[in-house]
Amino acid sequence: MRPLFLAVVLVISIVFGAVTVFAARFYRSKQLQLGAIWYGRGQAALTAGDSHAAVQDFRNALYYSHDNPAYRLSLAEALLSARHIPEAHSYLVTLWQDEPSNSTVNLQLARLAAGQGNAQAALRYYHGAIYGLWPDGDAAARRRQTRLELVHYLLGLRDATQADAELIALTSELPRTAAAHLEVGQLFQQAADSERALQEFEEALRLNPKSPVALLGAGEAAFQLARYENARRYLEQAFKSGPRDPQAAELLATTRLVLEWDPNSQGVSSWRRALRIVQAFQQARRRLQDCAAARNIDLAAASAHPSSTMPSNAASASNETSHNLVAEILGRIRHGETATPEQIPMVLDPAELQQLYQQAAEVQPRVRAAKLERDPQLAESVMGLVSRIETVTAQHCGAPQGADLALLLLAHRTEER
Amino acid sequence: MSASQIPPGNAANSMAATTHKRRLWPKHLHLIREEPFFLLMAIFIGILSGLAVVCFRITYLSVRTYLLSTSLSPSRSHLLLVPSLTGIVIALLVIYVFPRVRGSGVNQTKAALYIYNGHIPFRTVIGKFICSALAIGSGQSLGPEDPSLQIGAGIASLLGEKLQLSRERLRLIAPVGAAAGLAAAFNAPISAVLFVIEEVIGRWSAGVLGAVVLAAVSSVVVMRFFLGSDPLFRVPPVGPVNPGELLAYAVLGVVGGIASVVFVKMITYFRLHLKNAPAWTQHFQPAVAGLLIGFIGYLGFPQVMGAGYAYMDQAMHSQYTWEVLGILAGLKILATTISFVSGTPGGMFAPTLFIGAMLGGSVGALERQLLPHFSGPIGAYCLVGMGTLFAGFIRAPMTSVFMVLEVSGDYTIILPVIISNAIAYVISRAAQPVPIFDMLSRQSGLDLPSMEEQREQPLLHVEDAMRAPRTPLLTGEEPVKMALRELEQSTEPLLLFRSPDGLWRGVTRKKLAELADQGDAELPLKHAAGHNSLAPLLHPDHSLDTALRHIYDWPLLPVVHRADPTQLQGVISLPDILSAYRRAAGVPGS
Repeated sequence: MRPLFLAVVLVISIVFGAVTVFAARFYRSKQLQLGAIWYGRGQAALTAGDSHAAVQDFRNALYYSHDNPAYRLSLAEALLSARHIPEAHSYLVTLWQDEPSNSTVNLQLARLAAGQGNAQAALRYYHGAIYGLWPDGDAAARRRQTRLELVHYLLGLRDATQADAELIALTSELPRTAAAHLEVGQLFQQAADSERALQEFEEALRLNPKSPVALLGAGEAAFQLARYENARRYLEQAFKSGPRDPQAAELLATTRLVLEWDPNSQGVSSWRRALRIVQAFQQARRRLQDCAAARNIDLAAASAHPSSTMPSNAASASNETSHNLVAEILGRIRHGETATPEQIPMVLDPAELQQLYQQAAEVQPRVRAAKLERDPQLAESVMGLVSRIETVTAQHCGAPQGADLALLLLAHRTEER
Repeated sequence: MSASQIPPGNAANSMAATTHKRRLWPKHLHLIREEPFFLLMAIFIGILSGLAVVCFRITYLSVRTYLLSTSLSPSRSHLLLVPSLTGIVIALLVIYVFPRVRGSGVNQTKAALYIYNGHIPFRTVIGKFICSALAIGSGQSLGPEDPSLQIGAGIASLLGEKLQLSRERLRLIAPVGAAAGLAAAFNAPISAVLFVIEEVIGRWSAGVLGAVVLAAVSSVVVMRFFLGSDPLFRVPPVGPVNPGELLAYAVLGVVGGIASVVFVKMITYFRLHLKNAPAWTQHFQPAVAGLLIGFIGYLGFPQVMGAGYAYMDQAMHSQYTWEVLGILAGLKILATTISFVSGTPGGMFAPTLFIGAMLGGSVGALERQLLPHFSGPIGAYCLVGMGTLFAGFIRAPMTSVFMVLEVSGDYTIILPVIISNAIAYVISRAAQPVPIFDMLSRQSGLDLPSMEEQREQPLLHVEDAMRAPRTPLLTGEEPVKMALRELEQSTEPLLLFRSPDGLWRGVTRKKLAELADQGDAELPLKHAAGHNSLAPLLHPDHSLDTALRHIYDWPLLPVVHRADPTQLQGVISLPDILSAYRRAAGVPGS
């Protein structure tokens, strides 16, 4: 009895199983079909900008196929569009748990974290997106685009070091197009990496030699690197091939002025060099006197500090802060600003100016072109004094203009070297 | 004698052997031992239950799609018309075709186990399938788990009866099927096994446990084969729980406990009143329930309709504010009460989980609003809330903990689950001493054993009944006449003595008298007592049931120390045992 019945049970199980297979397949196909219909409606609604309707449609799609990651991702994206942030975050985190290497999910989570001010999580998810898998193809372009987005985000956070590192990584993935190199060059410039910015602009110029934007960028980068000859060349070419930009024009004018005042310019004779030093010394003295007058400081008053022709510790220390000042000046030139009275700093220590004046007075009798031509050490010492005067007066009386600005930039270049 | 034992070579013998073999093979197979056969049957029960539950799920989901809408938000006319019109059909089916499909599947399975020798009419299974699919699909606030449980139990019962299993096995086969049905419906075999053991069978034994586990596992395998292994709802990552958050989970336990009590009180109160309503009203009760629930959906809360798993998923993903979650929990309690008390077939597991998820989410979302940097994900609260309501309402504390772990697959949530569930369970027990299933069975006129009451019943031990011996302890060297004298001076039915080998022995008064009559009065007791004088050993922690098993042959039993069997702790006799039971029952004067 039992074996017979067991056999019957087996047969019933098989028949029942076959019926269930048929029913389940029909049901599943119907579910998938309904899911696809609602998903299509959701996509259409999202394209039409109706994110609320899209959310509802994607929810319906998920009801029929709740394990479909594409539906869940679309719902999360629609929720983001509809500003349902906590819910979108929850769906994305669930998706991320299922597929931590999904770049699209990581990218959305990165944007969410960035929006919520969670920089650490944003960076982690951005990296997850960059090094993850892009399910919908064109991985290289999406990866590049994501890294660019990350760079913009980091620059927004003023994290130039991290942005620079990401840009360096990006350069190896760049396509050979002038536009790509141009964009990265500009970002390098924003990340204060002028050397790599110049390389990228030059690469862009190799691909499109007449690009005015690349020429302008290269000129600015060269200017920041104190390569004034190159800067002038690029800026002049930029003016030839593109429309005139007032800020670029000012930058070119400043570059030309720097080159005019630079005693170490290429092709300048020793006599001419000596004359430029004399001229620079006189300009610096005038700047010192004007600055003292503007601040009501009596330069002739006795200074408590011992006079010396060698750079003092105080002057050396002030050189540290002069970096910031020079960078500020460069920024002002780039953005076409001029120093306003509000921007002029407070008087620091009058004795510093008095001491410099005393040093200038001591060295003045020896500042003759003939002497300077014969004595390179003296020439160097005089130029050192000029640099200190321009730096200190810039700190006391604000950013200079014209010849004094050129001398300050030369002083900055000397420090850099 | 088997065929292989017949000597070969002899034709007659050979023919006889063949005939014998033919005659014997069914007998051989009939001799398949009951235990392995029962386990084999459990697998078949699991497979068939799994298939039935797959079909049931497909049916009620398809009914929903075709009757209500393909959208999660049906039109207002559908919300009002579909549940009420379907309610009329359900009422007619229940009254005229399937009169036994009303009520809880858990209780009907328990009734099969304790009253009907494992019998569940197959007509009830078919009725449960059709009526529950119509009810859930049309939007009645009921769940598919309880009907699935009963469908599994019914299939098992049918198989058991056809196979003419022994009465003991036949009784147990319905719970085995119940476990299979519940496991397939929940996609959670561990929870199903625990629930059936905890709430239906009430005891752990290797034979039953093996069958229940096999049936549950095979049904889940079948279900996953057809419908995939994805859970009923997606659980967002929970992550480690901040220790300070446990306070919020304790609050959730309190809220869940109170909600459970309210839910139980409402169901038992309204069910009793509707049962006493005129019979003709039964034709309309499901329709009116459907209309009321449709009206709740019409007012903007269609989430309370049906099982609600899709909305639990949404709640876990922070779709709703704490106010909306709280309202949904309240409305679901109302809707489920209306549906259930109207006699519409369907279960309360899914609604319980829904209410728990919404309450948990509400507490979590409120905490997030008040202490944004302090609280964890809402999904974790929803999940713990589910377990909390399960512990408070269904009163299955073990199942509630394991269910949350099994559904989430995340062990980090164990602490909040235990805390919250324990609080809800304690509150529910304090405010509602009789669990919901027992209340329902008593309202139906059935006195089924309460598993919770059984668990709570104090178990009496030997130490509760033992006393000091009333005769001096002899060493066995004493003569028979002295032993007889000692025994005659006391009221003990037996004289115990410790023989030189350290073992406890006993001789009856009758035996001693016989020895004395035979002239062995001077013989040392150890020689006179004989080999069958060795007393069975009892320890103080043994149950009184163990003592009762020996008390007929040994009217006085020695109770000895577990570490040193030579050391007598006391003795126990039948009057002592009865006295202990009377004391435990609170009989005056005991």
